[in-house]
Formats: sequence, C-alpha cells, structure tokens
Amino acid sequence: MRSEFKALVEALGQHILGKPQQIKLALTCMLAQGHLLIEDLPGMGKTTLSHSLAKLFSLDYSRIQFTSDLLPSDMLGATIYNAQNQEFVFRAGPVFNQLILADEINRASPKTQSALLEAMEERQVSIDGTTYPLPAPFFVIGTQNPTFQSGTYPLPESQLDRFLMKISLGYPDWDAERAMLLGTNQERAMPAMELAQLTAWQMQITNVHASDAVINYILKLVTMSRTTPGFSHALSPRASKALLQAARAWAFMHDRDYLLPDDVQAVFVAVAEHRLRPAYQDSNEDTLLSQRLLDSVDPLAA
Amino acid sequence: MTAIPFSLPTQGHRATLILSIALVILTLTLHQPLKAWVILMMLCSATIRIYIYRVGQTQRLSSRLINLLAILACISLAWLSRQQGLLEIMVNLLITGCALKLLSLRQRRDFLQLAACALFLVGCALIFHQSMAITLMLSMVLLLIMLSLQQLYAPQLAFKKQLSAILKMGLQALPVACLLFVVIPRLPPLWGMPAGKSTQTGLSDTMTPGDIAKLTQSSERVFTATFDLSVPPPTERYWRAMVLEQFDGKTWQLSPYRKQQQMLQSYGISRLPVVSQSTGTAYQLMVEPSSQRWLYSLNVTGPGNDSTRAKTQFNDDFSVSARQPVMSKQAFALVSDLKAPRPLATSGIDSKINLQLPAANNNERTRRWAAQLRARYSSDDELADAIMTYFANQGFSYTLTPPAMPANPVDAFLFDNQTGFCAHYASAMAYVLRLVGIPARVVSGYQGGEKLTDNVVSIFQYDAHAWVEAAVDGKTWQRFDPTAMVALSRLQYGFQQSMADQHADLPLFSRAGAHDSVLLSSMFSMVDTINYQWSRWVLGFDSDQQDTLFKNMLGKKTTTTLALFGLVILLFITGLLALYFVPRPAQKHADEPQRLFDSLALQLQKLTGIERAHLSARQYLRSLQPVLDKDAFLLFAKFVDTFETIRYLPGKADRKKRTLLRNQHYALRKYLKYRGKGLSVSSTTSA
Repeated sequence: MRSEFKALVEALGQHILGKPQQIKLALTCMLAQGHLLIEDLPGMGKTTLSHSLAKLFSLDYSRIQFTSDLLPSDMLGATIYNAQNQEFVFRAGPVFNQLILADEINRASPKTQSALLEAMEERQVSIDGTTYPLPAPFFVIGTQNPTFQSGTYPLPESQLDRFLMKISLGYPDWDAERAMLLGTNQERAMPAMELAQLTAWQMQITNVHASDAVINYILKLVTMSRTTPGFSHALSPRASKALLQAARAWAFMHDRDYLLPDDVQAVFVAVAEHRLRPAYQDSNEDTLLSQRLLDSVDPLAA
Repeated sequence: MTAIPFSLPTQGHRATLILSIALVILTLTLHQPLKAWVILMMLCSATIRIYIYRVGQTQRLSSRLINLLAILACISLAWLSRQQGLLEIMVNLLITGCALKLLSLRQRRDFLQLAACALFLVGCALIFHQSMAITLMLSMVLLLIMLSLQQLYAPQLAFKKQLSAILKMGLQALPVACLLFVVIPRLPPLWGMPAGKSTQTGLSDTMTPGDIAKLTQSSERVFTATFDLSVPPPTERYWRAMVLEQFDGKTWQLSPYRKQQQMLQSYGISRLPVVSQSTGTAYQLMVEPSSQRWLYSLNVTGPGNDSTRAKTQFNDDFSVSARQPVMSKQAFALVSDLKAPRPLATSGIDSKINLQLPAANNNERTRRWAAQLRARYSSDDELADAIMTYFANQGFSYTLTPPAMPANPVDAFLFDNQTGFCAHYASAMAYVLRLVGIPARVVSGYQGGEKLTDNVVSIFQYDAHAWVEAAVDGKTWQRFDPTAMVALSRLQYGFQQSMADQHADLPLFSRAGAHDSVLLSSMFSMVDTINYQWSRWVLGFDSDQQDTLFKNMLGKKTTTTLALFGLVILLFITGLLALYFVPRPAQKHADEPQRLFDSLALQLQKLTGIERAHLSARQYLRSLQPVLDKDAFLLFAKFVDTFETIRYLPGKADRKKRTLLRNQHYALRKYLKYRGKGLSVSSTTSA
C-alpha cells in the first residue's frame, strides 16, 4: 500500500477504531469519485467517519439530518425576495458543499430523497428554471438505518444504484472499544491533506491498466448475476462500470498501475451487494448474494 | 399476534400472479366434480392475489379468519361426503386448501407447497377428463406452473430465457416419460371411482316417451366403432343397448326377471352366443365414460378377444353389458353376426315376459282398436304389417317437440296427436302387438352414426333411437322400426339430414347445426379423427396392448427376458440422465500461462492438499505459504509474479517473459519432483 494512504488510514483509524477495512473502502470510494452509503444501527460511528473524511481532505462540509418532514427546498435552497435591493436572490441550501452527510437518508420522504439523488447524479441543481452547478468535488455520504426499522422509507433500487458503495461498520471488537473508552488515541492531530492532492489522485486512477483478463472477470461476475437463479435484480451496466472504477481506485491505493482480480474481489461486496435483490428471503441462507457470485466465478479463467 | 415476516415480495410478484392464474384455469377445467362454492372461493382468492399484485398488501388477512374459513369448509365437505364419493370430496378439499393457501401466501415454503398441490391437481384432473383438448389445456396449466417456479427462482431472467429453460427441461424429460408410459405396468386404480355423474346424459333404463327428445339435442359422443372391414350400411346399424320389456301403460323399463338374471350372471361366467369369427363382423368399440354398464352391439354379438370376454357379460336378450360401469374411456372388441336370427328362449320365458300387459285400466281406445285388428287379420305377419301401414297412411308425423300426453299416452298418440318421435312409435306398436297376443318389446339404443372413414363410425347422443322387436312367427325376434314409416330419411341419412328438413332450432356451432357448413363439418370431422387416434393409441393403451407389444418385442415372456428387458430400460434411463446431468469438462482453450499455472496448481494440490478452487493466483500463493518450504515457496512466488506480469500488466507479453514463465514452471516442477518433498519442516513434523 502507498505510504500516503497508509498514513491516511492510520489517521482515520484513530477516530474509527478497529475498522481498517471499512476505512480503506471509504477512501477507495472517494478516490473513485463515488458516493458512499453507510448502513448501520444508530451509534456505530457513521457520522464520525464521514466527519473525519471531510476534515481529512479539508472539504466544505455540511450535515443534513433527514426527517420525514424535510422538504427538497430545505436541502437545495430557495429563491428569496430581498426587500432592500428589491430583487430575488437565490439562497443556496446545505447541499452546496463539497461533502454532504445525508444522515438517516431513509427517514425522508421519497420526494426529498429523489431531489438529493438527482443532485448526486447530475452534480447540479435546478431551481426556478436556473441551473446552479454544485461544487467540485462533490461527495455524498448517506447513512441509513437498516430498512426493517420503523418509520423508514427504503430507498428504491434505482436510487441505491447511484451509490458507488455500501458499507456497514458493525460493532467494534473488545480492544478497540476499550481503547475508545479509555480515550488514549484521541489527542493526535489529523494530517491535513490538500484538496489538489485528492483531485490529482483521482486523475491518476483512470490510468490504471485493466487487462482483458480482468475485464472478462468483471463481465463474468455481472453475467452470472443475470443468468443464475436466486436474484430478482441483477447487476446493471452502471454496476459493472462502478466495479471497474472502484477496483482501479483500490489497485491505485495499493501502489499498482494495473488491475488484478484481487482488486475486483476486494471491492465487489461493497459495490455489488446493495444493487442485488434476492428472489426470496430465506432465514437459513446467510451468505451474501455477492459472496455467492464471487464463489461461483473463477478469477483466473480468462 | 406476532406477524410472520413476508419472505416473498407481495406487490408485483409475478410468480404468485402466474400461479394464481394457473390455479384458476385448473379449477375451471376441473369444475365437474367441484362444488360451486369451492370454485367461487378459488376465484375470490385469485382476485385478491391479483389485487395484491397491482396495489400491494394493504392489510394483512388475519390467520384467524383463514382458519375459520378452513374449518367451515372442512365441516361442510365432511357433511357432503355422505352423498358423494371420497375421491370427489378429496379433490374439493384440495382445491379449498389451495384457495386458502393462496390467500395466506407468505414464504417460499408456502409457494412450493402450493405449486406441488397444483401439480397434483393436474394429475387429479386427468382422472376426470382424458380428451385431447383437456389434455392440451392441462399441459398449458403445467407450463404455467413451471413458469411460476422459474419466476420464483430466477425472476431476473428474460421471459424468453425462462420459457426456453422450461422447454429444454421438458424435452429432456419427454423420452423418459414416453418410455415409462409404455413400460410401467398398468395397475388397477387404488380408489373407487365416483359412481354416477350428477347430471347424467345418455340413455336411461326407463323410457317414458319424452325422455329421448332431450337426448337428441346433445352432441356428446357415445362411442366410436372401428370395423375390421368396412362399416355396414346405416340400415344395418341398429346399436342395441337395452331391451325394455316391462310396460306399465306409460313407462317401459327393464324386466325385473332380466335384472335378476343379469345379476346372477355377473357372479358366474355368462353363456356366450356362438358367433363365428370368420363370418361375423368384427369391430372395436371405444366407449366414452357413461357410469353405466350397458354396451352397444349389433344383432347377435360375441366377444372378439379374451380380455373383452373377461370384462363383459352377454345377456339372454342379446344385449351386452360390461362387468364394471364404464368410468373411463374403454375399448371392447366384439364380433356380431348381422344375419343371424335371434331365437326366443326355449323355456317360453321370453314370450311370457313379453306378453305382459299393464294392470292399469287406461288406453281404452287402443285396446278396442287392437281387438278390431285381431278380428280382421288372422295372420300375425299381416297384422304387424297393418300396424306399420297405419303409421304410414294415417298422417303421422315426426317431431322432437310433441305435446305432453300424461293420461292415456298411447291413446293420445295413436288417435289424437299422431305426432311424436321414435319412443312414441315404438311404445305404441309394442303395446298394440302385445294386446293382440304377439310377444313384443322395445329396444333402445343408437341408430346410424357418423362415418369418419371407411371403417370408423362415431355415434353421438343425438343418434339415440328406440325400435320394436316382435316374435311374429313365435320363434325368432324380428326388428320393426315404426319410426321409419314416417321419417325414412332419419334412418337412411342419419339424424342430421332429417333435421335439416325440419330446420330445427339448433345452435350454429352445435355438431348438428354444423352440417350446413362444409367448412365446419370438415373441421368437426378432423377433430373427431384426431380425437379418435388419441383415444385409440394413447388412452387405449391398456395392459393388453402392453402385453402384445412386449410379446412382439421379446418373443416369449420368461422371467429372464423380462428381467433383461427391465435392466435395459433402467440402463437406458440412467444413460439419458447421465447425458443430461453429469458435468462435462469445459472445453479447454486456455492460453499457455493458464495451462502452466493449472498444471502447477494440480501438482501443488496433490502435495499439500490445498485446492485452488476460486482463489486468485496471489491468494493461492498466500494460502500455500505456511505449508511449503522456503525454496518451493520462493519458486512459486516468482512464477506467480511472472504470470501476473504476462496476464495483467499493460503491453504485449513478449517471448522473453513467456520463456521465463516456462523456465520457472519447469524449475518448480523439478524441485517438487526430485529435491525433497517441498513441504516445510514444521508441517511435516506436525503431520
């Protein structure tokens, strides 16, 4: 792994204890210019992680707490009449920031959800006939409670597809939680990154070479989801694009300018799982759908 | 009540929708043994399912309600089971269960149960109907059920792909199914068939003139006869079904004496009329299920083969009946002598029965007329002719809709209305003959029929007919058909032609109406032919046919040949299944690096016992690290490195790298083969 990234992961690891894999995935997601969805129970450190990421890259940061009565204009902004100047001015909403934390995204009404997701896809906002571009880079980190919690509007498949990755943090282990309680690690300062550095990296990622063998591997994984029983939603072409992009970022982070099947495997669960739907849910099948796909495709066969 | 979570999606779940539709079609196909409320229940729950499919589950049905419905349905079915056969009640119960399950469908398990039930119901439907149209219909239902299962398991596949997968599996199953159809022994049914249809059609064993008019309108098929040679002319085709010898002034029925005789005979072996196989007319009857025992025969009839001899009974009145009610399509081989006389029984019992007169004091005018006739004609022959000419000359007419004649039916017919159909004529003539002292009886059956080919004739319910048999000479029965005197065309050209003259109000698409249109009639006859072939070759494939087939194939039936035959069949099926399911190694067109890697992986797996499975090169290397010794590990690491360079790095893999890979491959092979075992010390000591 590149030393820069090692440092970054370590720095973030001081805030989110014992979750290096998730941190790496979150960084990968940012490098690949994708939006990140964190699904977990309340209190697992979702907000902390996104806050730390914003701080790390010194991005403008805003947090939108989604509630069932949140309106699109609360988030996007509105045109307001200024009595002094006697004109209408647009007051930008919290969405005009480089990093948005959309907290508990599945508590908002579908109308508000889709307003945000439109902004995510187009990277611009249209209000009253005027189009306002969003700042670049533009990241959305959505957090959501597991859908079976009450009072939630689960995100529809088409909108889940817009998030490059979905990760969940899970409970920390004994030592990590103990360290957190003792507060031993908290004092160290965050290394501040230049924003320019991030964009430079993002440019470099596109140069990571993907050989035919790896492209075929991705194609096989995607086709497998479309042809084998057990899936009610298969992986879309957008998913295969996302998979390639994320794998490139992962390879770049590991100081390689070419892709290995291992890179695809590393990001596959995070990229694919939230885009798949089982045909039926059975309590006795615990393996993830994406893991099943990984297990049924040989990464070496070209 | 804690709610069981749905594991099946509700709204827009196509699998459930297709299954509900399949169940509805199945229920409607199977309607005959079903109660109306059972059908209604299925329709309701399917409607609810369709609503859920469109709108989503807005409110969960409480399982208390469903349980209550189930208990009520069970109680009423148990109550009804006192009147109806067990089989019918079971089918009703199954449909009710399916309807309720459809309402409470929540999990995959429920779905699979329901699909299995539906498949079983398709089998049940075949108990009640075997015609080709219904079979095709049920095949469609089968396809729908399969499709719903496909939708359940692989909903993301395109419809075409699902269909082709089903068809592929169906084609795979077809040879095995055909083979088993031919080979599996035909066992007798495990349960009793329901006796008596609720709405019985066909002849009845009583004849009150008026019954047969209703029959005429029905175009259901009664039986098909296949003659070995050609079909006899229509005037010879008097298919005798029942001989009615007991008359009470209104109704003709079977004589109690004959009933008793037949019952006695059914316990023993019936006496066989002697019909020579060479001079007789041989034919095969394919009888539609009627729930009755009587069969249809021409003149004097005997059995055509041993299996028919075993399952039929030949009665003293020259009628033929089956030993068991005909509950499903059945074949009977018969031989008839069309010219043979039918002698009266020597005991005189025939004339005794057939001179019996009703005790009731009605039909006064007829009796007077009979006395006049007797006085005028001394010869019995002339007298019978006189009655026939009376019908011809006195302005009698043929109609299917005669006025009701409740009080003195024969009087009213002969002197007042002078119009009626075969039953009226036959009844009146037989009664008059008895009055004048000539033994006479009414025979009911079918006349004519529709010729399908030169040697096949189909008989439908509208061919029902009644005529008179009288012993004019006191020794043999002779046939008199008084109806022929007024409606000759009916006998010569069949019922269809005679109705065309009358322009009776038959519906266009009825078989009877179809004769106006050439297209319709040729279509009907084509369907008939197909149906006939279907029942002849598929439904008619019984244990006898199976036996003859085996005999033709195997020659003598010995234990050894049978065992060998069974073994061959088993091997054939096993071979087929192996062909389908044994995985074949995928075509290897791997490139050189892949081949080298695979051969090394195989060798390493033999050595370490660790399989590569679906690990990538690097992951496999890592998993081998603890077990390989240092040199072997390093050699393999180098190999993997070069492999990855060739495979994944940009730029063409040049010859140098390939040679390097080959060399590294060779080095590791050699090392593993000649130098030590390649395993690390720690693992060898621990092992």
